Amino acid sequence: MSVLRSMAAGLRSLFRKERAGMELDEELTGFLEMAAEEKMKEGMTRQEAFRAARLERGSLEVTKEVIHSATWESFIDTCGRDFRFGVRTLCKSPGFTAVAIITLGLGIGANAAIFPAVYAVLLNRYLLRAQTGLIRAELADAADSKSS
Amino acid sequence: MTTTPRDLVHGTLDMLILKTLALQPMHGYGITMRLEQVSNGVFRVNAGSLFVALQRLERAGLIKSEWKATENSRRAKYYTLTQRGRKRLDNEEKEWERQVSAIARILEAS
Repeated sequence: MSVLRSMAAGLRSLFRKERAGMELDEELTGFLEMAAEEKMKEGMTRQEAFRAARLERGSLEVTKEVIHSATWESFIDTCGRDFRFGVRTLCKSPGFTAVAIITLGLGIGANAAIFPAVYAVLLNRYLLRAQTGLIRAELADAADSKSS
Repeated sequence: MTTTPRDLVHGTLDMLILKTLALQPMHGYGITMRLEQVSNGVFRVNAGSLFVALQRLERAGLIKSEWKATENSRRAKYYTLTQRGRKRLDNEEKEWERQVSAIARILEAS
């Protein structure tokens, strides 16, 4: 149940990121303002009070980051950003990208092409011809065969 | 205050938040204030750990939140304990007492 709930909450904040962010912003700003007001009652100026509150409770931006990175959906965010960064980097050096793609393509292609050939020529021929008469022979020690 | 405020014992923040909310719905700042006052300033909770815990508890369905006006006519998100939260609090209190008395026995043994 709680896994489902967490997923639903995560998806909601993933697809309505702006709204979730704004709500968190308002909540945290309110939190810091309340902390600062408390200090102003003790005689600090507005500026001093806000500075002290930030020092004591953590700054707004850092706190937002901490809260966001505690959720599972922040992982998806990070993956998306990494993917975009990767694509951008590859676009920047087309020569390298081309060599990498060709190397991978040849490697995968050669393997894919060679396996059916080997299978057809070397393996399949014998298997088909002598399927019922196939025997497996093993060497065994005398001691070994006694114990098993 | 002679000693500086300390961070909470690891893993107890959730329980303390649930306990605080068992009295009445509160906003984030209210929860920190109450934790500090009741502990006589021994514990101080920063915004990061508090809101991470609140988010976790809300996603686990132990508390729920709604925006309301505060007494100073500011808008704030108030957190309320749910039925599940109350049950969880009961369990955690019992487990905590069990552990504390076990630790006390170990410390007193000589």
